[in-house]
Amino acid sequence: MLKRLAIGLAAACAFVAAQDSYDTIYNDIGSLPCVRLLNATGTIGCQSMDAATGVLFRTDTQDDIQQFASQGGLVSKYTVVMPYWLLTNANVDLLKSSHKLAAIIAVVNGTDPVYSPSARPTINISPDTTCPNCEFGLYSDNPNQYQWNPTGSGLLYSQFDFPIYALNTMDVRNTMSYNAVMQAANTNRFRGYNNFPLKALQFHAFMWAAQDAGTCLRKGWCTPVGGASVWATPSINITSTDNKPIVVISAAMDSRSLFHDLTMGVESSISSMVTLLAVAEALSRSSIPLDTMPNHILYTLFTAEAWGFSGSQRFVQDISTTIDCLKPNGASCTYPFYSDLDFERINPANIHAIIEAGQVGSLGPATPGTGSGPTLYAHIDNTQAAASTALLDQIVQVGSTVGNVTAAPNSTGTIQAANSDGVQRGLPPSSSMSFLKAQPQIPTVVVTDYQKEMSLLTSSDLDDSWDPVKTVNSIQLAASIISKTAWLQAQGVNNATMTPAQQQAIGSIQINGQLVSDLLYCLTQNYSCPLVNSYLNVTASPNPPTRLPHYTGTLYSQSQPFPIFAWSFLANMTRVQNATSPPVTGCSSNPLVVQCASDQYCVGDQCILTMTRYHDAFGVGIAMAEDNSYYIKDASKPVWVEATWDPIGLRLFDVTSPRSQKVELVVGVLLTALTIGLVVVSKRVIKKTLKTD
Amino acid sequence: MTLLTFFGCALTAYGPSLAIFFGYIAPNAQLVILMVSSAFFWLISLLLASAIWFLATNSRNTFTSTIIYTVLLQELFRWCLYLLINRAESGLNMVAKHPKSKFNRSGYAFSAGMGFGLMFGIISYITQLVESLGPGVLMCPSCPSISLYFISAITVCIFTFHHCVWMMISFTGFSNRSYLRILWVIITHYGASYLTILNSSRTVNLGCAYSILGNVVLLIASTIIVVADVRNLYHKIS
Repeated sequence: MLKRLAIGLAAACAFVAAQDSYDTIYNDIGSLPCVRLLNATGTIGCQSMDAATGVLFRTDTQDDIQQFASQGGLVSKYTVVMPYWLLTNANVDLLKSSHKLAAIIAVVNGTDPVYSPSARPTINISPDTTCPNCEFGLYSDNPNQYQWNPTGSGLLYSQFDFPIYALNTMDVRNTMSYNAVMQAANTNRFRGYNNFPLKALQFHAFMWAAQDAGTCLRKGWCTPVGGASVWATPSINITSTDNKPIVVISAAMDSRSLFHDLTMGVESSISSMVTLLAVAEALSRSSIPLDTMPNHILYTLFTAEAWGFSGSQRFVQDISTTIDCLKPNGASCTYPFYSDLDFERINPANIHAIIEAGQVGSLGPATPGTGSGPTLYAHIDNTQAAASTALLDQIVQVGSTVGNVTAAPNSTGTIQAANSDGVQRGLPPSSSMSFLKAQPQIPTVVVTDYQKEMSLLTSSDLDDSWDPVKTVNSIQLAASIISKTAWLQAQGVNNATMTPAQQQAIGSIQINGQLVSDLLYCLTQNYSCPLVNSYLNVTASPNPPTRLPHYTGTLYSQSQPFPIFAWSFLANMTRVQNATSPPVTGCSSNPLVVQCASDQYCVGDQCILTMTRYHDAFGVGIAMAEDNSYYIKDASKPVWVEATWDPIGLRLFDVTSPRSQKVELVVGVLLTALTIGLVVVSKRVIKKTLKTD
Repeated sequence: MTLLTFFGCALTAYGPSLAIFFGYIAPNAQLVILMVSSAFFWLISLLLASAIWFLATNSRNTFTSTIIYTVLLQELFRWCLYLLINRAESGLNMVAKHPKSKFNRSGYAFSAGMGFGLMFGIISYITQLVESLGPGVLMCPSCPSISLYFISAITVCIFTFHHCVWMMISFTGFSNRSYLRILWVIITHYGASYLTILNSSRTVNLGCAYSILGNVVLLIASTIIVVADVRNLYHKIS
C-alpha cells in the first residue's frame, strides 16, 4: 500500500485511495477504557475532552516513572505504558506534575516478563476505599466505623482528566492490541525517545456526562449503573401471608474495578456467587424436599452490589413497600415499572435468618503457634448480637462437624466467630446490611475468609485468577457450612434436636467439588463451557463468548450474561419436582413443536415450574419517570450512573519531531518566496527584452 | 502540531507553481484559458491511463509497467495539445499583447506546461496533503527519518517545473520537427518517473535523495535546453 502511494506520484497517476492511505498510516487497535461515572455529588473515572495524542513511553518500574517525570529534553506529550500495579494515585500525580503526560496505558497481563502474572507484587493495594460502600451501609451514621480495607488507595474514586486504558492478553483481539502497543513502545525505547519518527497513540475518550448524576440524567447523557438481581425459592406457593419464616441465603454477583471490560472479582464476588449456586445445588438434593419444610428458603443473588449495595437495597425496598401499580399490565406493571410482581409474595417481616457468603475464595494461612488451621469467619452485627448469637453458634457448630480435612487440616473447627478475639467490628460490607437497615432484628451471619481485613485484591483488576485446589476447597468449605446451616434453619432444628431421619437427610447434603470448579471456570474463563451451554446453548452463537466481565453494566442497555445463567441454574435447582408426570422436553431444541405451559419456563430444554425471578437492580436514589427517563429521587442514597460515550478508539501511528516539522514549514516558505522573487525578476527581464524587440 | 507539516508541505508542493500562476499566467486571460485546457488534456490522458490500470488487474501493483503506458499517454496528449494550439495560434496571437512577438509560442508552451504540472500536482498529492493534517505521518520508506508527505511535496514541485520545460522543449521539437528534442522529453519523462520509484524502495538506502537529486539534474538539463532554445530564438530575431 505504501508503494501504491508512491506510484501516485511516480507515474502521475491518481490511484491513491483515501482509505488505503488511512490504513497505511494508522493502526486502529481494540481498547479497554476507564470510563466516567457520576454520583450525587460529582464524577469519578476518566474523561478526555480532546483526542489525546502521546508518544509511547515505556516504564517498567517505579524508578522508571520517577526518571520519566524528572527527565529533561523530552519534547512532546507522552503515553506512559506501565504495569497495572504501578498505577497509583501518587504515580498519577507525579506524572501529571511533569506536564508531559497525555495518557496512561496500564498493562494488567502481558507476555513480556515485566507484565506477566509472576511479576505481580506479592502485596497488592486495593484500589477501593478503606471501607468499600460503607457510606451506604448499616453503619453509615457512625463516623468511626471499622475500616475493612485499611490499605485501600481510593484510586477508583479519583477522577482523571486524561485517558487511561488497559492492555490484557486475555483473548486474540486484545493480544493483538497488546503486541502492537508493546512493539511500538519498544521501538521508541530503542530509539531513545528522541530519534524520530516515534510511535504515538491517539485516544478518543470523550464522555458526555459532566458535573453530577442529577445533571446528566436530566440531559440524558448518562445511564444508571445496574442490571438484574435474581431471587429464587423452592417454595412455589410462598405468599406474604403464610406466616412461614424465611431463611435467606444471599450473595453478590457483580464486582467493580477501574477497567470495566476486565472486571472479574474472583475473590471480590465470584467466590460468593459460586458458593450460593453450589449451596442451591446441594440443597436441591436434600432427601427431605425443601418445599415441605416448616420454613421457606430464599436464594438472593444481587447485582450492582459494588455500587452502594444497589441490588439488595432496591430488593429490600420493593419487598418492604406496597407497590402501588398505576398502570398494570398482566402480571407486570408498566408504571412504576416492574417486570413482575411476584416479589410481593416475600414478606420481610417473615425473614427469620440471613446467611450471606462474602469473600470466601481464599482461606488464609494457618495461625502460627496456635495449632489451629485456617478458618472461615462468621460476622454478626454488634447491636443485634443477641438476636444473631443463636445463628452464629449454629454455624460454628456446623463448621466443627463439616471437617473438611483438605482445606483445614489439623484444625478443630473450620469456621469461627469473627469476634472471637473480643473485638466487635460489626458486619463487613455486605448485602445483609440492606435487610438490617429495614428490619434490624433479623438474625444475620456473613461468612467470609477474613477476620479483620478484606482481600487486598478487592475491586482490583488483578483479581482475575483462582487456584484449582485452594480456591475450590475454600468455596466448598463455605458452601458446606452454609448449606447445612440453612438446612437446619429451614427445618427449625439444631444438631441436638434432630431426628434420625433428619440426621440422615442432612448427611445427604454434600457440596459437589467438581461443580464448584466448573462454575469457577465458566464464570471467569469461558462462558461457553459445557455447564453454561447445557442451560443456554451459547456455543450456537457465531462468536461463542469466553471471558466476560463482571461489571454490572448499565441498566436495560447491556446483556446480563451472569444473571441469565444464575436464573437458569437456580430455576433448575428450585424446580417443582413432579413425581407423577415426567417433564416436557424439547422446548428449546424444537420450539415450534414443544411449547411450555403459560406458568412454566423453558430451562435447559425442559419445561419447569419454578419461583425464580429477576429483580431490577440500580441505585435506590434513582427512580424511573413515566416517560422511562430517570431522575434523582433521593441524593443521599446510591445514585451511580455511567456517562454515555462516543465510540472509544485507539490508533497507533508515527509522529515526526517538532523540529523537523518546523524545517518543513521553513522550506516551503523559502521555496515560495524564492519563486515569487524569480517571477518578479524574470517579468522585468522579459519586459526589457520585449521592449528591445 | 501537524499544522506546520501541512502548511510546509502545501507551500513546498504548490507555493512555487501558484506564485508563477498568479505572477505570470493569471494577468493574461488567454494564458489562463490555455492552462485550463492543457490541464483538461492531462486529465483525459489520466482517465485513459486509469482505465487501462483498472482493466490490467494483474499489473495494478507493478509500477514499472504502469509507468510505461501513463507516460506514453501523457506524451500522446501533449502532442494532441500541440496540434490544437498550433491551429489556434493565429487566433491567439491576434489577441496577444504583442501579436507579432516570436516569443508568444514559448509563453503558450510554458502556460500549457503549467496546466499539466498543476493538474498533476493536485491529482497526485492532494490526498496525501489532506492526510498530513491528521496526527500520524507516513515515513518515506527509503529515508525513514523524513516523512513521505514532504518528499512527495518536493517531488510534486520538481515535476511541475518538469512539465513546464518538457512542454516548451516538445513544442519547439514538434514545430521544428526536431526528433531529438521529442526523444529527450520522452526519455527524461520516463527517467524522472522511474527515479521516483526509489522513494518507496526499502532496499536502496537514501533512495529519496537519489530520486530528488536525479530529478533536479534532469530538470537543470532540460532548463538548459529551454534557455538555449529561447536564446536561439532571440538571436534569430535580432
